[in-house]
Amino acid sequence: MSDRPRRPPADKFIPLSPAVFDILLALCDEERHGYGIMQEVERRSGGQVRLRAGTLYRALARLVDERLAEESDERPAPDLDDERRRYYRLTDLGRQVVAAEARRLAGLLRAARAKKALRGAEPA
Amino acid sequence: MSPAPSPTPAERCYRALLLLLPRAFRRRHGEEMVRAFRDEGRVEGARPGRGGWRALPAAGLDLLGTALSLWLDVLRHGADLRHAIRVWRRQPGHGLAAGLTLALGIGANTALFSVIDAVLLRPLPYGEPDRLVALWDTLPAQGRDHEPPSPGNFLDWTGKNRTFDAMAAWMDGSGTSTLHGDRESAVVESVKVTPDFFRVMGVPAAVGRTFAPGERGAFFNVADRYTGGERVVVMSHALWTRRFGADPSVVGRAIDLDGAPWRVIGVMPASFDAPRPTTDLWLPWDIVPSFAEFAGGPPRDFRFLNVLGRLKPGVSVPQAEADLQSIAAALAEQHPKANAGWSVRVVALDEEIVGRARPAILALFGAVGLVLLIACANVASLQLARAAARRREMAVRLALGAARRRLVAQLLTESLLLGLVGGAAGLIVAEGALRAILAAEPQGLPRLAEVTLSGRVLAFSAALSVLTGILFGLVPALEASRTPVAGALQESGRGAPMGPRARRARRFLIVSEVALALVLLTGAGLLMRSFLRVMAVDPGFDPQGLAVMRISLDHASYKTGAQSREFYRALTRRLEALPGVLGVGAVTALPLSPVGTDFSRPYWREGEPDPGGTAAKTDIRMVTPGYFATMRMPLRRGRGFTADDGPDRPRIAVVNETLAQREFPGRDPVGQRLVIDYRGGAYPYEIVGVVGNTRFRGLKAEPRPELFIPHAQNPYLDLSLVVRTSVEPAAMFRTVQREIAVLDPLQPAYGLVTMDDLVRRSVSADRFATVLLALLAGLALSLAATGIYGVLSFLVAQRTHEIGLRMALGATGQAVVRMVMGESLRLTLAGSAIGLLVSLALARPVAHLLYGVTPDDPVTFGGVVVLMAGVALVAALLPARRASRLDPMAALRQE
Repeated sequence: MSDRPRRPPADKFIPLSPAVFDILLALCDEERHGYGIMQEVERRSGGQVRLRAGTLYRALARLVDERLAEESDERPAPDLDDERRRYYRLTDLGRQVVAAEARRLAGLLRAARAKKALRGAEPA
Repeated sequence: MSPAPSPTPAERCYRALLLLLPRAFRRRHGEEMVRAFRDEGRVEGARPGRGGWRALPAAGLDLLGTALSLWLDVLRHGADLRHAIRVWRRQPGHGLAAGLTLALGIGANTALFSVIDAVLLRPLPYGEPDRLVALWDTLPAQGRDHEPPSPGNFLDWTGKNRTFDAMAAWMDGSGTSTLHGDRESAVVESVKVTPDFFRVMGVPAAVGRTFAPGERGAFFNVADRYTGGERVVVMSHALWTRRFGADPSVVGRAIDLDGAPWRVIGVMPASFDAPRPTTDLWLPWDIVPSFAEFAGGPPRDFRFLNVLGRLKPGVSVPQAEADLQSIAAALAEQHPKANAGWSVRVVALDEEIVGRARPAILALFGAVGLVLLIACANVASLQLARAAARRREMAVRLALGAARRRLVAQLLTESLLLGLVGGAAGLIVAEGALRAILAAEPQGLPRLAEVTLSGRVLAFSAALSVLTGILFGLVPALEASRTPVAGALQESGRGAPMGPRARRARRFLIVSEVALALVLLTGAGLLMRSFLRVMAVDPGFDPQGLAVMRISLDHASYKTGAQSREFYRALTRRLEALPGVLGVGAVTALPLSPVGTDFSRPYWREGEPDPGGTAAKTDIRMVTPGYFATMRMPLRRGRGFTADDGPDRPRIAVVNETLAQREFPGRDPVGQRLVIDYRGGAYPYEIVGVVGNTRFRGLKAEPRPELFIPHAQNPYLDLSLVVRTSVEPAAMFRTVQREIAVLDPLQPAYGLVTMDDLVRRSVSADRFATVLLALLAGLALSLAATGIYGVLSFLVAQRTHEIGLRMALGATGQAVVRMVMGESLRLTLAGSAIGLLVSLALARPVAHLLYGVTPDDPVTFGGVVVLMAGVALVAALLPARRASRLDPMAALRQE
């Protein structure tokens, strides 16, 4: 991994692809291993979004490269078996990026509401 | 906490796929990806041990995509791609040859895959098509497993089953209506369906509505006479646009059909193609009232329905079949006369529609796969030749400290680039090939209209390009990376001698190319011989010089049999008087024709008891007196029909040879009587003559029993007209149409075609497969020939020094030619032997595609080996001559 002179600003990463945003969101509240992220994304989306291992680990490798996430340590996964798994957590930069993306999406949502584009699609 | 389970086969597959990923990535994440895959399988797999198979396709696809993007990342950062482009630009001729070869291989595969995608893989265009099934009656004792069900039994199935959401039936038959417009009339294809038909298909109307559940509107009785209720009709998208300019206000309006007003209640979407793609109108049909004239209600022993059903969610085909079979068993007890011995079969609809086409399509797909393998072998040998020329480059790079792995990666990059370029060019080939396939319109290939280069096909093609890139690149890349540094650097450049390993690799390529090409040649040879056999079959009539058309008199204007009889009698007289007309006949159903009232009825010899539901059946056709003579069907015994065989004379019939031999072996059938159970009553018919068999259902189909009745004694409204002409038959169409219009301008003729065309169409599926396979075999043969030529040229160049030495020592030019040709022949024969064995193994499963030829036909096998050997010798000729003309001194000085 190359050392970069300065931490790049969060805006550089905006907008995020939906899959990446899903992964970062899954890491917001706790550290997770890869399969944990897949489960969390599926649970939170109500089964709508399903990450596959290839997509997930390629995205994770990139996130680690870009320093939005980092590996914490390897330890047994409590819910599965005694195999050791690699855990990931957000970096400060990662948190900033999630916040920036969420702000961007919230802005879009406000704009959509102002234009009454959601009429009928949202509970009153 | 449980110990780690042993890996399932699916997991092993997944682990193997991981090898596609770049090594660094695989080392870092591979184990966890396998674990994630296993966990997912645990959730999805119902039973332990089977887990993972269901997750594998999606996971594998995801892995392929990941591998592709990761490698692109690697390439983007590395110099390999730039280097690869530079290398190919330096040698455009080589790249062009290799790219073209690949384009042909990948293009052919892409084209055929798009056929497979549309015909076999894509779901049928109906709602939840996996719940749709076709229902057939079976008579297991006689091996009949595809019989149309009867109306009476159908009503019981509908009412008593516990596994179906709905069932629907429709009546086959000529199925036409005459649509009268302001200026002109036209015959359109109509079908009478029970009201649940659209609910079963699960397709709503595009405009308006379909029949409401249980809509009991208009109906016809079994004699096709309209008996009451409001007349409503659903229209096809094609008719709506063709005839009414897609005007939505047509819905709700009345149209004039067969002289009566019908209210249009809906228009179906353009994609709706049931029961036939050409259906224009759906008329509601109510089974119960339409058999009101029958004493026992809807009959159980008239089997003529087509039945589809929609399974309840979660019900499997065997469950539904068991359900219906128990109903059928009960019906057989209650109504033994009609149902004894009969049972039911349930077939998934997609199997019903494409099942028969599947083996032929898969065989052709196998054939294009072989062509691609040959193309790969060819390109691999080109690459090997190039690799030999680049030994110094490799050696220098190795000496300068490049890792061997890097060299392999670089060479693989070159191959992948070539594969992708070949794949892109292959798309153009595929597009052209698809157009040719669609233009050929092979009959018997269902769902052809849906064939396109879809996204899925493009993905297939891309994956194929990558795969071929790896396939033909791997051997040469590994070979090149084994270059011994010291030796190669000392070499003087070109013509460095190869080790025995490299020569073996080349010989292996030739042998496999020959073997693959031989398999294709054998297949094409067998199909060609089979096709010639089919074309040599005597159809039982003379198809040359016959004009054919269909007339459907409408029920409103021709209410009595006498009117219909008189119309056809008058028409025949008028046509016979025309110059250029040699004979005129008409029949309810014409051989090889897609339209016609084609039906069969139970019969038995007079004096014997009625055998009930298990009675043998014969096809029944009504013919006019001139029919046999016009068709030139030979009269074997007795007489044909004359104008005197009218309605007031005793019932008579002419039988074909098959029926005569079956019922009266060794006896003269003329004067005997057969009882025909003919809808509503059984009548005896005296046989007055025997005619030759015709191949009614296609040249390959064995003749069935046929019985002909004078049209005058049983007048039908719909007849196929055959006119034998002394001029080109197509030139008579207009004249005949004019004569019909003189008699009645409201009864247009349709389906105008020459008998020659009907014969041609009936074999178009065979011709299509034969021509396609012959083209592929030709392609394979020429690829193999260039492959042999290339490798032999290279071997000769490599052995320049040795050959020079031999000639200096007294070998003649002839001896050198013999040496090179002998090598070619040896390799070819070795490849042929392997190819023959593979062909024999492959031919058995596709034997049923053949007609009149055994899958181990010695003529074909011998022929293709001789052909292959001949081609190999020709391909070796040039390199051999080149070798024999070497100047020994120059050759020896080369080192």
